[in-house]
Amino acid sequence: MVRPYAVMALMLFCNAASGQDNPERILQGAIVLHQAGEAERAIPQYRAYLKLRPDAVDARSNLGVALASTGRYRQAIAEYREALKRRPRDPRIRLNLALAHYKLGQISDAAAELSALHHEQPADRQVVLLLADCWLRRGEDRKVIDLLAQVEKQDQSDLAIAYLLGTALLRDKQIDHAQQMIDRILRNGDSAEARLLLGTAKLEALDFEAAIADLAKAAELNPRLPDVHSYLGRAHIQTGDTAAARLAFQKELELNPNDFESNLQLSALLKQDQEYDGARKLLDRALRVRPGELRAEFQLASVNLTAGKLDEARAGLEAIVRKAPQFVEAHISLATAYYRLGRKADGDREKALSQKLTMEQRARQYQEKIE
Amino acid sequence: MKRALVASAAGICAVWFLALAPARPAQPARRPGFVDVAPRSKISYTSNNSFVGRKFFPQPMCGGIAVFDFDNDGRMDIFFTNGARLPDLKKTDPSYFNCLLRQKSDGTFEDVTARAGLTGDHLDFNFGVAVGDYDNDGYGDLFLCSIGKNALYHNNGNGTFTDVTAASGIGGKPANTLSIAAAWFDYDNDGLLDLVVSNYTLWSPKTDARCMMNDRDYYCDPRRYPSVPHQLHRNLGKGKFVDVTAKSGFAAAPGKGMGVSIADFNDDGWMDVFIANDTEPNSLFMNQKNGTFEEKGLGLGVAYNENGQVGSSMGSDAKDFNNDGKVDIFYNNLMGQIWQLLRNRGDLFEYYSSLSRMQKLSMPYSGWSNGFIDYNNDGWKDIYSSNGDVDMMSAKSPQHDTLFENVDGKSFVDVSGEMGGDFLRKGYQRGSAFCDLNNDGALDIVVTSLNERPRILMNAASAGNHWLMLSLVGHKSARDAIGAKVKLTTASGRVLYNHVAVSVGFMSSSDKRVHFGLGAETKINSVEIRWPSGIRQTLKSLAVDQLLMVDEPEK
Repeated sequence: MVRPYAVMALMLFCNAASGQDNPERILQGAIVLHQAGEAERAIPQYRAYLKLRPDAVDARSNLGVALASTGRYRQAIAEYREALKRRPRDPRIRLNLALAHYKLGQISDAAAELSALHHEQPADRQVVLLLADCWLRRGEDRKVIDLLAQVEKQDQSDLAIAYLLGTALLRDKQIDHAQQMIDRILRNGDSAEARLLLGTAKLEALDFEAAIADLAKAAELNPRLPDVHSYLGRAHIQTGDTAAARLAFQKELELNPNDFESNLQLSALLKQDQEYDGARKLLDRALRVRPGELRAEFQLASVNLTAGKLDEARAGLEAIVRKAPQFVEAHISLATAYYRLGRKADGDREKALSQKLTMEQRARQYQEKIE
Repeated sequence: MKRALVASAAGICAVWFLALAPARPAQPARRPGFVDVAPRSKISYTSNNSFVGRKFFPQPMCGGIAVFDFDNDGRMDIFFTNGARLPDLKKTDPSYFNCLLRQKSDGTFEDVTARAGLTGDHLDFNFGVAVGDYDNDGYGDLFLCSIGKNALYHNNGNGTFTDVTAASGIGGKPANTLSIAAAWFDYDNDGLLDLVVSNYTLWSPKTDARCMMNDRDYYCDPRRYPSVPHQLHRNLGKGKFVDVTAKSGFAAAPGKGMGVSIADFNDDGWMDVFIANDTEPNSLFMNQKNGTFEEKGLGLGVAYNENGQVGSSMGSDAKDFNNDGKVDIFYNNLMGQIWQLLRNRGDLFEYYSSLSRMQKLSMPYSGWSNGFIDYNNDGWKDIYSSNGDVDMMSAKSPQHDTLFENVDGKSFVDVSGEMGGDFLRKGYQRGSAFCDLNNDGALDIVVTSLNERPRILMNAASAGNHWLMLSLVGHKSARDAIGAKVKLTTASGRVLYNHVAVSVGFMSSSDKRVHFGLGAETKINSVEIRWPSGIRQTLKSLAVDQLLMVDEPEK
């Protein structure tokens, strides 16, 4: 989190006047507490000051920082937004706003703020990295590649860029280009980042045991590396080791509660083990990170269906097939829901539709294979 | 086998105690292994799928097995199906012949195929075999599934069989339909066994799709081929059958049939049919008690995996693995997919592969035939699978069989490694049948492997647990009593369930006798039988470690 209050504090000390009700003295007290790590106690002081000086942008921004540091991101966002109304082009406040959204798992909102910042300050490496990370989390791999390809050409020493770009390239199946990024990281010695990329590449190549070895090594080298436990979990799923997968996803979520894939994948494992409430909580969070994401919406409906919440499942699945009429598995699950609700005619209709879509899908795949 | 006639303790009907082995003292359970006794006999049979480099679509499916006592001498015999030369689909020489092995009194086997008239030299590429006494004459008859004409062999009761396909009216099917497996059962409870045939697709050597990569043949994806309806044949009596596929509702639910399992899934006294369909939704035909079936696989949760996707459903079995009185379903898949254990909740089936650890255990294997068998007689049905990938593309393709031991009806552990070297032979295993070949109360396994000699895996029976084997003889019900449900209560109050099932796994027929492992229990309080006719029978105070023949009472 960017901490802009230090500079302002110095300025305020110079202007501080004496007296308990003196606004500047209140602010001074708030800042002292804040700097001493007493954010909880600083917050009422900031609020008291802002009652008297509602237009004080820096103080409001400081309040946002204090709120964020105590986990009250929604309140922090409100303060940052208020501050930005008065100083819309302040990059520090916008960056803090983006970070608060990011922490809340509102990745789309974070990306929007970071995009605006990037537009204003295209050379700011921190913004570039954060924006790329947000897009990666949203699965917008192509945007990451477009964003970082130029930066990477100009600066081949930045391993963070190589890492993010390599990840996006792997996901986009641009294996050769991704391999260049992996090699670049490896040239700097064995690192968690390199192992993560290697493991991811092996996962893509369906070499699951080898992927697990690399990913486990990456986790050993840097247990706090974003995504490392998530990918390890995904590799374990492929070998059927759901217990190990659960542990891995749980570790990822301890570090990064808003990791979309970990929330989604762990929810599927919980569903399999009939822990439906836990699965729903994870999916709620996944959908906060990626609102409207079809896989998460489908998984939620699927959890409801399996748990016997048939009406909720039906409503969810009906919404999904409206949004994505070609989603075969959703039609299949909707047919199941209808049958279990005793709506045989509707079930038959959905079943027939799913069969028709499957045939069309297979015909397309066959045609693509021939071509 | 020693035949000792012992008075029935509580039979309402005639009950013969065929063997009464001395009760063994309870010992700490050990895991019995398996030993291949096939080399002790002169067996010429090797499954032959005519693979000489060019790959034809049906080749991976060769080597069906039936274990039955064809001559009623009290010893189980073995029948194997075989392939044919491709592409002309002819059994051009004895290497393609089917094979009947008669068990001799010393436990070895003699090849009596020619004498029995079962070479099948007039047939083509055979797949599965179903054993059933369709005319209730006391001798098991054979139905053979084929690429071309299916065949019905009547057991003449004198060691020979007669091909009665034409006269029976049962062999007909649409041209080029591959019939993979079949199961006898009495769907209308009229006392005559009917037949369901699991059909796969339309195929002929002329329509065979050739798939190649880097100038190398590989077996094409089944999705290249269409689904077809399975068939139901109603037994009219006097050796005649009529095709009721359309009338019964079977025609409305086509698939790519592999394993077929018969059970009364909703416990209403009428047999239902589960068919595992390769790359298509599985079928669960629920008996409507009026001569028709409704396919309810989707609503009941067995058509797809838990994510709404199809798998490469292969062999199947339907038994009550957790002894809750409800019949569950198991079918295996190819490696990388998950073998599906579906627990019957009563109103629907729930995915149980994760909670039971089947998900992790099964991932490395491509399973074909399989079955719930209590190999160590502890009262919990374990899961055996014959494995080996479809194609020969990698070092992981040849595989060994697996045995997953049932832990208290809740989960499974892999004990394959403790089953011995013969069990762990790697290859492309296909058919498997379960039986008690030496009547010692421990289940043995017969397994075929592509283009290799079969294995006859004798159970070492060293677990030290007790058992009971029931041979049910129907009278109002069909004589084979397929589907008869048996509830056993031990002296300690433990309740176990099983039912008469013959078509088990993939392309194979198993010992029709009902087996119970009893663990350390030395007394049985009661055995309750619900016959397909609806008649209920209770036997009380039975000794353990015996093979018991039970006749269906009149009422």
